[in-house]
Amino acid sequence: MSPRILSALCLVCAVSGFQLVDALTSRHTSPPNTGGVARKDPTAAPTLTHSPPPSGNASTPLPSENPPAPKGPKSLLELANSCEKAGSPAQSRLALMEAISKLKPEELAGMLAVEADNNDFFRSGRFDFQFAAKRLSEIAPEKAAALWLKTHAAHPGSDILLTSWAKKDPQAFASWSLGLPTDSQRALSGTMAQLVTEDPQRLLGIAAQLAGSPAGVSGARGAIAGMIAKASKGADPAEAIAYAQALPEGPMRTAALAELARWPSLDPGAHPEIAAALSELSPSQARRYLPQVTAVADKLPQGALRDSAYAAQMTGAAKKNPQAAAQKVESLSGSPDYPAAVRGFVEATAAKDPAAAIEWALTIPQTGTQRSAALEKAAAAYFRSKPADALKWVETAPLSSEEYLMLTGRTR
Amino acid sequence: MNEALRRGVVARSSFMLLRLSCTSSLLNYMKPPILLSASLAAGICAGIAARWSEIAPSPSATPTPVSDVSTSGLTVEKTTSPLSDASAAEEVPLLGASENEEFHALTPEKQRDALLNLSTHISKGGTCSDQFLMARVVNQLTFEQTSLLLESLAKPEDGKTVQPAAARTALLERLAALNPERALELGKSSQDPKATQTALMAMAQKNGAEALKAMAQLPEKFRASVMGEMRQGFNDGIGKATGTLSELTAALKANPELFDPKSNAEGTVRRLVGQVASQAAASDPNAAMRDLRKMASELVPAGENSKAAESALVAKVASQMTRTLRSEGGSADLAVYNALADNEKNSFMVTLEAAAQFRRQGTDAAIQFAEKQSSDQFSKDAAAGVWWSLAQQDRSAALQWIESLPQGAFRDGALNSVMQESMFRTRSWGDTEQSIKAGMDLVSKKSQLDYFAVMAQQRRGDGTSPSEFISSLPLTDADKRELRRRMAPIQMK
Repeated sequence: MSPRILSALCLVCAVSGFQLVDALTSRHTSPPNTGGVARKDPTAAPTLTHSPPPSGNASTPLPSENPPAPKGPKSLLELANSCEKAGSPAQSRLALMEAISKLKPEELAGMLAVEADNNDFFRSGRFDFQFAAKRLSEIAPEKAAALWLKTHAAHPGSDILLTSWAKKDPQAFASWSLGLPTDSQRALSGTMAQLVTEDPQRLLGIAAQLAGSPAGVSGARGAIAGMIAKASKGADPAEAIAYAQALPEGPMRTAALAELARWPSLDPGAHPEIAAALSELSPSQARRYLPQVTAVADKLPQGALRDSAYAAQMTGAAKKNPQAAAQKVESLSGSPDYPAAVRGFVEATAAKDPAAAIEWALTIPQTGTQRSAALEKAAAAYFRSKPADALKWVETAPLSSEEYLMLTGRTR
Repeated sequence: MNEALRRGVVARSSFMLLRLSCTSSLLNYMKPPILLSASLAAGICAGIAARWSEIAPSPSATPTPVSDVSTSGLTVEKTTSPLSDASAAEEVPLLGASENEEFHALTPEKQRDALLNLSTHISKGGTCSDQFLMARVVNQLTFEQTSLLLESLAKPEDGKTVQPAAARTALLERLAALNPERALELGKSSQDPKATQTALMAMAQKNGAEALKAMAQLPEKFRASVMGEMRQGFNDGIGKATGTLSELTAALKANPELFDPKSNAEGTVRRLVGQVASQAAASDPNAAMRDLRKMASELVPAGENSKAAESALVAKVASQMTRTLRSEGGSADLAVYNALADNEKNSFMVTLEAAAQFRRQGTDAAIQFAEKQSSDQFSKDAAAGVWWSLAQQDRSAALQWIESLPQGAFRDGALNSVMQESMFRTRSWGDTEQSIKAGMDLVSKKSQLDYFAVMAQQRRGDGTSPSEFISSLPLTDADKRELRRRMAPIQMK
């Protein structure tokens, strides 16, 4: 046999051997439908991965292990009910997650839209709604955002429709939010809080965009709340203060600094920037921080918050020990804190002894709002318990014309 | 065999094959049949090398050491915007687990590392795929594997105890799914509220009465923390308690403290009983209500106020029943509601029923329902439900509708709902400024003043006096004077 022919035959034999092995192993190993545990790169660190997205479908079915979900459920509720049969709560949840993961974006959006029309507002708190909404936010954020606009008024739990997208692309989320009506921007507070609480740095990238938006204020509060949640008692707030001061000047920065009043064991009096921010708040906003500042009322700057803190302190003290509280109030006589302290004392004692409380109220000088507030409280309690005595008292008490009008609704 | 090695073997085999085929010296020394056989064998060898990964035994036999696992493999998800409905759920490798291995077959160390890694990812806002993957891999574990993993997760690492909440929850639920009774014992012995709660939930799904008996055996202080966790579990709507009301009655009769309004278990027990009763009502609402009243009569001790206490108990459970049945569709909720006497209803039930009537039958039916209420309070409650529903549909029409209402409880209820709806819509709970804005949206001055008068009363609770509140309103001086007159604490004749 000629060497050339022999070489060619050797080559043919070798290739045939190779192809034989190839054909045999292909038959044994395909299709690699192993539910997301298909091997890809044996040299990499051992990993268990999700299935790759199939072509032509925007959704990403999750790895499948259980039998396919029953066909046919038209609504999310039907789907959830059908998955209840899977077994324990954990197994029901697993079956439901799998069933939801197999839905296409339009199917998912359709099912959630049905839920949006349901005015049972407990509905959005259930696991099936929450998981489906999160899934839609991941695979079709545009549809999810549109659905949130339709749903959020009636379903507080629908905020999850925005969360995944907001976390993935905070810039796009912030830009989108600025085009919404003011009330809707305000309603983003829950989403903003979720976005920044777990990672306050997310806010810094979008803070300038949101400087004029109510969502920015919610974000500032949420970011500091996130830091506080991770801070241990006595931790140094310097980094958090620097963070707050890096936010755009205005409501966002004020909100962040004021929120720092909740820092564990923080003395707002020792941090002038925090005290200043607190004093900028309106009385109704300042009330949010009363539990943190009541004990340190004397260290706060003069203003609505200090007054509220003193009043709350005296209310608490008078409920425990009226005599001791009365002595404390008297010790403040002549100080700028006296009116608020008396008001707090009257708040606690009016129901028990309205006649005495009203006399206390009359000791407040006629400047500011503390006297009228204390008088109103005590007079209402007096009129409820002894109407005739209250009518007699109001005609003889040393009241200004405005006070008489306020207490009786009439001119003298 | 790793990829580099595999490729090396293939290349080397191919090269040898080529040399074998082309080396003239071999051709000279070997006989053709031997040469052809050798060529065939070389080809087979090359084929085996190329396909080694499919032919070789599972790599689980030689797992990659945990120290080799790098966290850098965690892929970052693709950014999306609502302008592009791109697929976002990309691969999130679960480190520490081999692709070809089943999770349950991994070493405990690798399982632990994998779960820790995934749990950390979930705690940082992971995707639905992560949640599902966690549930799926944990679903492969045996009871012993699960409890071992739970123990190892609780062990401090480098002096710190890690708190992989998602992994822990998934493992506890797996434990409970496999053997709720053993899971309960583990939860009790470790004084772990979460573990005990998941076991009780799984028990309740098998038999609510058994779960109640198990609850009763928990020390009171420990039970309080378990019950807190469990209420949320029932609210989730996953996994329903089963059984019959008579079984529950027997269990509660033996442990009356569980259903005591002052008990820390009452809220949870109410949800459990409500779920069982709602399942009974789904097939026969009247029979379910009969059984519920029987339960109340057996559980409430005889005494002066026993009838009122029985009605209160029925109301509590029925409230849960109507909520559950309503969220599941059908019409059994309406049958249950219609079967209730007025003293078996509460304000919230009436508001929710009005909203449900609106959804089912439209505005007119809902208004009729609200108007026929037997007391002022229920009229207010029903009006609140109607206005709420109307506002979701067409807010400006809803605001206009208020103007058509005569003075009275019905109108007051609608005005109350304006404030609540505004808070829900803007997520501004307790925000005075937002509530004032909602009041200013009302169409007529009269409605605005009525609304602010109610609001001033409510603000008393948080320490704001009516005069302070009125001063803060964006109203004219004349309007403020009118409000002060209405709010005057001493009413002159």
